[in-house]
Amino acid sequence: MSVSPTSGRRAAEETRRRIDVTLVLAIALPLLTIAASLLVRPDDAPTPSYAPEQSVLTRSTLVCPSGDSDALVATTTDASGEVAARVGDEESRVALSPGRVAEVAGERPVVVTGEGDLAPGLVGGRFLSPLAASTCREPAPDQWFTGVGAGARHRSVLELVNPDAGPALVDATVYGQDGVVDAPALRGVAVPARGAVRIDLAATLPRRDELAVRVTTARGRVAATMRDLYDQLGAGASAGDWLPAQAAPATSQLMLGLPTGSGQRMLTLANSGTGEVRAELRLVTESSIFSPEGVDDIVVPPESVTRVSLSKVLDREALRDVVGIQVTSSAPVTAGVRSFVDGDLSHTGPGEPVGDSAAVTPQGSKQLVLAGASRAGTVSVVATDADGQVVAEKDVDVVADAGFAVDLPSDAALVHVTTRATSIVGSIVVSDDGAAVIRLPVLVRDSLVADVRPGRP
Amino acid sequence: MPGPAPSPAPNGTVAALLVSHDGARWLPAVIDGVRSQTVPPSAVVAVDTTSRDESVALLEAAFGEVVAAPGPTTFPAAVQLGLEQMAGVADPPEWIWLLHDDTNPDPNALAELLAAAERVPEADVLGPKLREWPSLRRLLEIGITISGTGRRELGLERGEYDQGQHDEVREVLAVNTAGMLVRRSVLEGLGGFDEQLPIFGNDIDFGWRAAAAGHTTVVVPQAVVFHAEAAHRGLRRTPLTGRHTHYQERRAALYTLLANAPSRSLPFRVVRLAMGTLLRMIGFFLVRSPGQAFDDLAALVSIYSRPGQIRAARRDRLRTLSPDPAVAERVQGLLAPRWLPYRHGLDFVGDVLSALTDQAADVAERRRAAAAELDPSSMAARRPPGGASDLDDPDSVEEFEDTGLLARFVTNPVAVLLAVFVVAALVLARPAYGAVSAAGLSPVPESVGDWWRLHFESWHQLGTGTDVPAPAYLLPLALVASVLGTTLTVSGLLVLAVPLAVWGAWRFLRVVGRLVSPLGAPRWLLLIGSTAYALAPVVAGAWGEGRLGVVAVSVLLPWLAHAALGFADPAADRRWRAAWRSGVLLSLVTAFAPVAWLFAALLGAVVLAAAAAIVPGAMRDRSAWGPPAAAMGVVPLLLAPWWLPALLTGAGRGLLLDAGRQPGPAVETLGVLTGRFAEGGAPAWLGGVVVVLAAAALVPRATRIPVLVCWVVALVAAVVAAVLGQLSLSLTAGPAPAGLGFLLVVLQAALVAAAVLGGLGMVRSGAPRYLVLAVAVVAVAVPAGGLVWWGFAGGDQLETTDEPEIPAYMVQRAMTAPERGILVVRGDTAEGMNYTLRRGDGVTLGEDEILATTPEDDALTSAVRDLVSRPAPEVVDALADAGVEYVVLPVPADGAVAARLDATGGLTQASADRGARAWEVARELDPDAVEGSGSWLRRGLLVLQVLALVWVLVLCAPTSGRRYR
Repeated sequence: MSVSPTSGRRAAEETRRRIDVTLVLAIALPLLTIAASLLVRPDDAPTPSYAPEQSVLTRSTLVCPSGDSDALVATTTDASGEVAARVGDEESRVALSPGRVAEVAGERPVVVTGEGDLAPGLVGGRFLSPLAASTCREPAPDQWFTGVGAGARHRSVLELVNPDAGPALVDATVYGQDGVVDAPALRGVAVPARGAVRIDLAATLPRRDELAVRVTTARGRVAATMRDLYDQLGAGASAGDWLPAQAAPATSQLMLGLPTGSGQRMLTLANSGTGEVRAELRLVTESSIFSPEGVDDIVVPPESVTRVSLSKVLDREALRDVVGIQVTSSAPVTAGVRSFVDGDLSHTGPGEPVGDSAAVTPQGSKQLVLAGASRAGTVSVVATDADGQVVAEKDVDVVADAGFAVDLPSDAALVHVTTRATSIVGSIVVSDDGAAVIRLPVLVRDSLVADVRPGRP
Repeated sequence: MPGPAPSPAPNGTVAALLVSHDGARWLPAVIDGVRSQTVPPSAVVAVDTTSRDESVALLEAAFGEVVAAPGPTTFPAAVQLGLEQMAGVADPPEWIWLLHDDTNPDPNALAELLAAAERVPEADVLGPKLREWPSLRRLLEIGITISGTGRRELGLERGEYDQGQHDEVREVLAVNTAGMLVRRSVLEGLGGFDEQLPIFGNDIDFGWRAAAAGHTTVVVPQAVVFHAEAAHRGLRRTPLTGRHTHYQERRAALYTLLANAPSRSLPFRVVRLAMGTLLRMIGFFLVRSPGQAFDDLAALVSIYSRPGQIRAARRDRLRTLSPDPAVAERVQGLLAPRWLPYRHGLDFVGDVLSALTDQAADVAERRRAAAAELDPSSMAARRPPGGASDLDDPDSVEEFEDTGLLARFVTNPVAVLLAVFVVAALVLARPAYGAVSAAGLSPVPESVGDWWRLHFESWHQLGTGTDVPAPAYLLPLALVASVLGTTLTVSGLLVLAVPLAVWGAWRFLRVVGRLVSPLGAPRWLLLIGSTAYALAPVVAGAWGEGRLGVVAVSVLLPWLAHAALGFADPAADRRWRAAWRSGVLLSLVTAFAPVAWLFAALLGAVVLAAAAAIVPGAMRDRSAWGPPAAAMGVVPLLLAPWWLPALLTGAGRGLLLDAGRQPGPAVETLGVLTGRFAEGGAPAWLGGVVVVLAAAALVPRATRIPVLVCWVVALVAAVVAAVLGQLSLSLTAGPAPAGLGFLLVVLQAALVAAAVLGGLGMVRSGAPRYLVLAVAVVAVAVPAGGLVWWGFAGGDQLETTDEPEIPAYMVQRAMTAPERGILVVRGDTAEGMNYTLRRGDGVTLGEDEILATTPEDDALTSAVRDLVSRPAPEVVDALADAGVEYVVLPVPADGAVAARLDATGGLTQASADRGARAWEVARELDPDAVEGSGSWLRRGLLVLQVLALVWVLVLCAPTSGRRYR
């Protein structure tokens, strides 16, 4: 190959230029590629949760369990009027006005139906003597009772009430100390239309260990209550109270309101999951929430119930100070505290955070216990007597991580609690002839219209 | 076969009968041949059918009187004339030796034939060995027979050379009339040749008739006759052959079969030949020989439209038919075996396939040859060094071809490693064995009919009914599944994805290597590159999530790239063929990943712009820019039944989605570069190694330009990803990212190709061994690390069965009618609820995209909202009208909603699994609830698609017809 000198030089120049271009490209192209791929941004919008729309509640139902005293009903709205109350097959009208507490006679379960303006904010309760307290509740599809007994000394009776015109079907699952208890009699329990079924657990599944019962509605609406009876050896008469229901297991629960006096106190935890759960116990006082010294974590085996005596812990600490117990656990559990104090039985169940709540209360000295504020805020408490006269009106500044106790006059019949800038868990401890604990319920004021959209196929 | 036992010599005489027509070109040699016979015929009778050249003069000069026959005289008639001429003489000959004007007998031909006739006294028809004239050594015929499809069976390979391999006297069905020695009595007794077969095929017919009459035909390979096959090759055209020799041959074959076949098989043959003709026509169309296809059809029509002709012929044959059943059995034995046509079919398919796969492979070779032609002094003209001088190159392993296959395999570490990789990939793919579903993959329908229906229907009875078109990939899946079934199709694609991708990538990288360097890339480099690429969909997380689109794209992409290399072919017609091939493959890729077309268009524009900038004049040639443009244009044409209706129904968003369940996988920042989806992929640093190697590949100067081309591809992919990555497509059930899966694979492919080319540059530029070794070790980490990760963590998400959420009895009822829908409502009041309306067997593969892009049915949404919050009987009526038979709240059911539904008139409790709740709508369901009208536009587009597909496939098929080389 013969190349003339000039063309050779030109070729060399061209080569140099081309090399320069390729060198520039060799640096630029990777950098541009990396720059472009840096622009790829993932769509980091969080998965949205679609809150329901609130709509006016036009109809509400409260079910009060059977008992040998009158049931009490009140409205927390400004409306006056009549609500329907049905006891068995008898239906009557009950007049309600703001602040007043009305009575519904009849020992059988009472179904109160509020319509129109009186549908929101309906509250009720039934109280027995020696002091036992139950709150009238809306029927719920899923309820848990922890600390149920089915033995000779400690026995519970499950009452199922169907407020509707159609039949209802209930399944109950029973957890015992050693796992799920086979209870065919509690599977597919039919509750007739507008009827009630009472099941004495000691008769259907006699056993001595501590139980937890989950009541699920397979069809229709049912309000379940659990009446609990306790015999102290040699005392003769049995003491009783209602066992509070819980909507779902949780990893943190506050049980507020422990009746004072000497006796035994028992914490029962139920784990419905398939893994072992470790739970930690903390005590709530008026100044703080703290872990007691020398108390080990409580281990709850899968699908079973564990009970722990609190007597030692509470005896050692200054009991007067402790207003409640907090249980935090590694996985959701249900819980309950049973107190047998001075010959009377009372139960303290996990409370729900509320922003607006009210409860009817029986006669007797009362203390409102508050804790678990979501943040610092103010809680307003208004107590009225049975005629609607305000007997106490207090504002409590609350903070998180502390408990608060508010004494209420003994003639307070309706206690109304509202919060500002926070939510709070609360209970009212009543002591008179015995003691009872009334949890502050979530007041239903609105009906919720779910946000509905097409789903992923 | 009868041995050479002494037998009485044929005491009769032999007359040669030569038929000529315009044979002056060959006659001098023919006459010479006849004259130089060692045993000359006693007489030569020449029959001329009005030649327009000097044939007659030549014949007269040689043999005296010539029987003149009118122009259109057929060969049988000419023979008949010759026979009559002989009958006139006092001592008619015992034997007739038939000769054509283009057959030149060897001097010993007649002697050998007569000797054979003496040795085999029962032989009545004897044929010589025909060899090609003038090549002289290629075998043409040594006895012939006919197959069930009418094919003239020679029992020879194409162009087989005569090396004495067939030299034994044996009985055959027929011999060619050229050089045939036949007893005059037999020829006359059988009525000569059939007048219906003027030129072609009368030999087979005659042989068949002779055999059926109990005569024996033998071929005598010792006698040699050279034959020009003038008429068959179209060298000679007479009014009898016409322009369509193929038509004549085919017609003769059909006629022969139908006239001679036993009566009991006749109806079957009639049907078979008709179907066979259709099949042959398709074959001819595929190799772009429409003329032959129409000849075939015309021959069939010609025969079938005149059944009287066949009836007459069959009557005629009855006259000479031997009543001996042993004769019929012997004839059957002389016909071609039954399986032969199927083997020919298989051979044909094999030829087409190998031609298809090979046609792009040698683009590097052709470019080099073209360059060498332009500039003989250039590097390109030098042959790559081979043999001993190149022993250190692993490629030279190819040289030891004489060692056994196994020995070659075992001593070749690259082959062993490749085999180990493929086996490992097959084993690690075991989660995909059988019926699979995953986060991105819906289960397949039971039967392939569902896929065909989805493809062809323009109104789908899904949800509340939709006219959103089905995704385009259903067509290829349905085609495959029609053979394999739906389960095996999807499972097979997932299981074989990696081996197939290795295959494709290996072939592509090999050609690219040869394009860049005459020696090509060393095999170990190809091994690392192709395995690293093949694992891309696995380590990206697409395989484990069951993203079928990405997996299919990774298999197809190397083939598409391979076909696109054809754009660089020096020959314009090959560039055009590459266009059609790339167009079809791009359509296939686009069907699985619509983004591919967008990317290809942008890349094409960039490459053409760059080419125009570097070689300013190049773009003036239409065959330079035309092929890529045509390939781009084919895609919308082939995918029109999907694209156009999708845009018209407002489902155009679907054209930016990855295939499968929605939302598709997200890609995080830089994930496009490292080839990882946001979830389920292998560690990103493993992908980072590829990026580093691809960047380092820019260092060797020798291969920098091709590596830069790879980086251009990568840049275009990254830019498209950056643009699409900004999008969040709002689908009916919430937002979804645009599908970047294809771009991920392309970027990986470009980076791997860049790394391989850089490695090639490093090896060829004589880098120190330790450096090569170090780079190789780093590079091996990519596929090896990918395999290890796959073994431990990949594919966990593939499930063999879906957890049944809907009770089986409901599904069974739903499958009986489209209006028996199941409304599934999930969630609770507090967090929001969503619903799906399930029909038939649930959402199966191919329906996801339809449902995802079908606009929300506001009426149904509001009905469901009312149902869960304030149910009333009117809501239940609305459900019945919408075609809802069951309402299901799966676990965990919202108890409050369930209680409301329990109290609603018109809903009756239905049994459901524990924790779930279900109700039956106790109303008359509207049977037309999901009916809708199909779209004529889409039907038209489907027809267009089929036509375009056939057209493009024919255009891109290789021409395997020998005449159309």
